[in-house]
Amino acid sequence: MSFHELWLLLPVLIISLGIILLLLQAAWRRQPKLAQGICVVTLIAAAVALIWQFPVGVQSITLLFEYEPVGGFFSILLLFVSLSVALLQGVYMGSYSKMPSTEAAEEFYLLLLLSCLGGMLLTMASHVASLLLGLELMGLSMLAMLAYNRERRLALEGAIKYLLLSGAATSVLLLGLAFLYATSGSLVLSELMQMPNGGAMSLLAKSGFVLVIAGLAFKLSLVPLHFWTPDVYQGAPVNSTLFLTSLSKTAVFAILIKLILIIPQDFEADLIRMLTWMAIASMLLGNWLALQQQSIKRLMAYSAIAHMGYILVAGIIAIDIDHSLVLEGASYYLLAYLIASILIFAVLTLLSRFDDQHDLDELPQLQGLFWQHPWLATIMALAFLSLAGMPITVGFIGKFYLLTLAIKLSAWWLVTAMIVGSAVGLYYYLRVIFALFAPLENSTLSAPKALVTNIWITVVAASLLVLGLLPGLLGNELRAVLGVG
Amino acid sequence: MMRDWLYIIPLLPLLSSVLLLLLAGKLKPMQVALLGVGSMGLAALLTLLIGIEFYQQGGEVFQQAVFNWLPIAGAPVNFGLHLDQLSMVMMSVIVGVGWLIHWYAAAYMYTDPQIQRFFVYMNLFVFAMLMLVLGDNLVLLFLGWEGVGLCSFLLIGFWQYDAENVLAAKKAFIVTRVGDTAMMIGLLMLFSHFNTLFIPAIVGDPQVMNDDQLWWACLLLVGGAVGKSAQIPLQTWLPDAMAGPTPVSALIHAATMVTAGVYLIARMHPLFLQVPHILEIVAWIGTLTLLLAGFAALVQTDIKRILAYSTMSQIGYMFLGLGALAFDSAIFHLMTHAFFKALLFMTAGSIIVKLHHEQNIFKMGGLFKSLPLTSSFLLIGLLALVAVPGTSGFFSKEAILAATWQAPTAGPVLWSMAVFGAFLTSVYSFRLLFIVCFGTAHHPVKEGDFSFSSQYVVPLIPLVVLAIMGGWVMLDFDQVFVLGEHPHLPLWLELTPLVAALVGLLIAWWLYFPRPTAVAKEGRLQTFLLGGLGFDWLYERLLTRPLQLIARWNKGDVIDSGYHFIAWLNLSLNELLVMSQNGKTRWYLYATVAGGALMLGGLIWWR
Repeated sequence: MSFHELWLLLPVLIISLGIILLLLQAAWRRQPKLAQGICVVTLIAAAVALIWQFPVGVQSITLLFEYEPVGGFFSILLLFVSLSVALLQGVYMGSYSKMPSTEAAEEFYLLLLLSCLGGMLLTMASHVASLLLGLELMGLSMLAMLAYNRERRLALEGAIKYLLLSGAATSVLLLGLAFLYATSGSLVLSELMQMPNGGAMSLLAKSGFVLVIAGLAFKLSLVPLHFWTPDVYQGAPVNSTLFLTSLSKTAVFAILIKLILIIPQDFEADLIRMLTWMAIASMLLGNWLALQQQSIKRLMAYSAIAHMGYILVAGIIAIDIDHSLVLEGASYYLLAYLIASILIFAVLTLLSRFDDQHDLDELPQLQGLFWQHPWLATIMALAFLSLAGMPITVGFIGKFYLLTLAIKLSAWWLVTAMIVGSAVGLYYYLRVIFALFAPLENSTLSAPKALVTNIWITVVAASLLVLGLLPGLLGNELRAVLGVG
Repeated sequence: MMRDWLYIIPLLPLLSSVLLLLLAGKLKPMQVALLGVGSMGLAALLTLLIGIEFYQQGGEVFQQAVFNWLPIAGAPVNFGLHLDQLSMVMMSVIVGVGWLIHWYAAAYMYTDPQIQRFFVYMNLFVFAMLMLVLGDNLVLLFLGWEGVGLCSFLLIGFWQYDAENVLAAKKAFIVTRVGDTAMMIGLLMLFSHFNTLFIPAIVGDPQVMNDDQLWWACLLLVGGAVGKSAQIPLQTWLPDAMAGPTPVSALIHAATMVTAGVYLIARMHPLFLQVPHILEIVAWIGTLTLLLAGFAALVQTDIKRILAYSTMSQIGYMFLGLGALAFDSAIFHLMTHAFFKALLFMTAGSIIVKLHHEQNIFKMGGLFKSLPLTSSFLLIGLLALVAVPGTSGFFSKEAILAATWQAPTAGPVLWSMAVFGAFLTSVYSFRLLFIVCFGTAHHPVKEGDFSFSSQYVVPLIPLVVLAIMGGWVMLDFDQVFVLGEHPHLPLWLELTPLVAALVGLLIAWWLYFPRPTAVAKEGRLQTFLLGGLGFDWLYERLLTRPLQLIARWNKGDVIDSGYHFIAWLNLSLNELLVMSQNGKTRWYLYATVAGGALMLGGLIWWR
């Protein structure tokens, strides 16, 4: 490994350094505030480093990783959500001091950095080994975060479910990779689907790729591998749910799009058909499942299923036409989804306590939030409007991109499902908004005063509107950055 | 360069509006007034500075790209401002007259507990109006167009506790909406042919569309203009719009918003020149409206309704000017009209306040004795309205009439109708003056005169000066409009309108001056005219009732039953699908593996 390659790995190295610091700190002196500080500083430093030396072309770093703009952009998104989660965690833990001293709060930040590191490695992976390494590093750290409150029965239950099911999914993924290796004889991703002596893909190889897709689709909770989502979302501490719904989806989508962009020509038609059906089913089923949901976390789980379906549309189109424009659309949509998720879960986090048996989750509890915390309710309403794709929010622009692309491709089934899904989605998003502004009945919710966190949330909320009003602002940047992709 | 600051001018009222909105309930009335009026004052100062520089450079067009808004490939919509001689005049009127009206409004609304909300709307209105005239593309223009419509709606129904005000607001909104819809279709037609909505690109090359398509597009634009500017057949909302506070009537329903239609046609005039038939229609619309409004104004008893009908008729003159290819004269009349009509509305507002919110002119009387200053302002405004030589209205109206006589799209018939309109103007103006200011007082006047130092009077003084001298301003439009030599008509043609006005004065004198006990006569003709020549009645029969009938018929949600089925279907699907999420890990595991198998099966099946 040359010095230049090390230099390119700088953001990852900064995160690793942060992890070591956190380990040392935990051994030396337990102090949650300090741990949070180290975590936040690490994330910001990594983001600065990443933006500063943002990749312009594809550069490989040993056999395992490659450094390229699309992955770089997704890494920025990963750092963005990790930072949000880290900032929220301090407020959420607040009065965790009641717990025995051995069960203190610092390890959460350690796990967060580890998981973020896994995600970033995943976006940079160019080899099966690094893919698995990133995936498992991310997944296992996240598992611990999901079960972080061991006092909660539901959290443990959800984590066990996630462990079992994701174990099954990973084995499917491994089987698929084994099939591919058996036919191609290479573990480098770009050669994974090249048949020896350049022939067409055999059925074994195709099956292998489908199994890989299935393994990744599990993480993205795409239909028909979505079953785990609502239970795990609901059980986990709300901040960990946010992490699960944002970080792991982003990283896995990054590797998924990388994989489907390198499939050989003769497999395209098959794959497009399969992914189309998965996307349609996800958009429709996800929205239908959410219709009468009373738990916000479950509702967000179903909504995530639907939104992953939408993003998959971008992947499908990417196989067919011009890559860079599609990546731009997908990135915009993903960003919109992340911003809205962060805002919704941030409000829930601010109103919940880690040491309670349950988070604030049921819709009736949120009734009349506006009359107690107008600012929080406004932010939440904005986020839901953005998820619903209302104009002047960033969610609208994301949907607009995808819809335009799908129409350009004349993929009428996809277009129909997108429109039907949006209409159905509006129903339950508006239901939440109605509850927020309904007359206040009895509950009193208290939100802690946390200046930095509130400023951060306000900035994210402002970006939701600014990017919605002025799509050119980011669109031009994205185009310039991803133009080579 | 001063002009690089152009974008600040619309930004100022917008910022003030947002600030007032955010600080709702936290400010004292004085602070509200300072913010609301001060932002306009600053904007006016900036407009003056930019204006001086603009005219020193010979009226050279200045385009400012503020930011890229919608980067749609092929037809990007950018947030850009376009300053030329036309938008300079419009901006000066909006900001200048608007500032004075804001100032007056601060005094007028000072004791109203809702003054903060009032200034939020007023400042927002100015912002939207500036977007309308400064925007360099039709998207911005349309946004401003809808923005002023919204503010007009909010301000007409400002005192929302009175159901009548709300109904008037609704009427204004719905009637203008008809025009707006036409206009939107027109804009989309333009877009589909030009593939851009950038105004200079469209007016620079109107041959892209063939005459037939252009005819329709222009007709639809005229539809929008007619709705906004209260011309036949969409004129019925303006008299009712007087339900709003009087400064609103002065700003929106006299000086600025209602003239947006005139601006639109002037702005898009190269398209109209391709299809002169449309201009004939515009001229006829203007002429018929000015006659209709003149007749209706003859019998009104509410001082604000008289002024509203007079506004309608003056805009009719502007439309006639547009139709007679005298775009410059139409804009000139727009400007002078803004001066004297804002003055008239605000003096009327002062009188109304003085008389304990009495608006019926027959209950006024003798105001020259009790309110000498305000009454003389009223007199000056009316003289300008009647176009007495030397006042501002004289120059502009004379220019329109002269152009009408010679224009190929107008001609002597329209000219004589317009002269008859001048006669009507004179009659109703002097009727108003004689009944309100002379005779015996019928109503107690509030204590204290409006002296020169009153906030009700100071903002009017510049308008008094402008109403008299505003006609001496020589507006130059050589960079915007291509115009021929100004026509020189025989002297008798130029004198005829004056004679008509004089006859009108004599008739008004004979009918209304010496009678101390004059009251409104209740004849059939009077009722007909009072109701605006039966248009409300016609629309009620033709549109409102049939629509209400359909609504009644559909009260049982006949059409909705189809949607109920869809809702039921979705909810049932939800209930069915939720069963799959039963929380059992074993089932999830089977289902997940089955899902993977399904994908694999699909691959093999379709191979």
